[in-house]
Amino acid sequence: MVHALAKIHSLLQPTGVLVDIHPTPEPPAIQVRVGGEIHAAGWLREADDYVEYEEADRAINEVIELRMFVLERQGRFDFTTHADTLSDLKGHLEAEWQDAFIEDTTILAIEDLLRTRQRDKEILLRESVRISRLRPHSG
Amino acid sequence: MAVVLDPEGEELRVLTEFVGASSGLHVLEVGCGDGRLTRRYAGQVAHVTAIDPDGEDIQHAQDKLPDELRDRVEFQAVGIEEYHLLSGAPSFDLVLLSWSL
Repeated sequence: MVHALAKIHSLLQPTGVLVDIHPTPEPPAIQVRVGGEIHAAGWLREADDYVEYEEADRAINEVIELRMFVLERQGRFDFTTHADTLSDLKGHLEAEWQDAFIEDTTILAIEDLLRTRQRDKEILLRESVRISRLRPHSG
Repeated sequence: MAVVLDPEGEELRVLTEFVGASSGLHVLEVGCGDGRLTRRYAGQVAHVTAIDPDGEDIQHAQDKLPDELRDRVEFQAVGIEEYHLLSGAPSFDLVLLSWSL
């Protein structure tokens, strides 16, 4: 990853900036919204437990320590996926996120929360995402 | 629609806040995938070169690109190593690593 960041450094103008967006290592929360209420159902799990996101964090820190880049700003935001049904969410994960899975207890919690006559309901998958703005080190 | 990603637009809102004035920027987006994020911000910048080593994703990105963005977005099915070899010179105002590091 540091090697790739070095390549990127050489493609940037001296006045340019690098913006990195990647999820934090925390597992995404799965919630169910019923009307105006949001209920926690569990967490999305990944086979490798988000190791790659920790590696991405380390790579950013390393290029700062190497004085390749200067960190100008860092923040977080929620990236939320909305699914009408559990089947929709599973289909989305199978297509886009093959190493992610939903534990049985979370599936039961989702099904229980969706078992309501209220029609206005959906499943929310909430990922915490880190964004960093870096500029090439001038020295 | 059965599944919708970030209908709140948080990703674009925060990206815009972090980049600041963007109308004249030449952008390299690394790991653009199927161009989901590219389509959201490309209208605000001067030009985007969006790369991803997955040729199938790049084909999807090209297929989904609205006509009004075709003159300012160029997709290439290459990784950063190969792209660096092909281009070399520092020319971008902004490099965006979109969920790809």
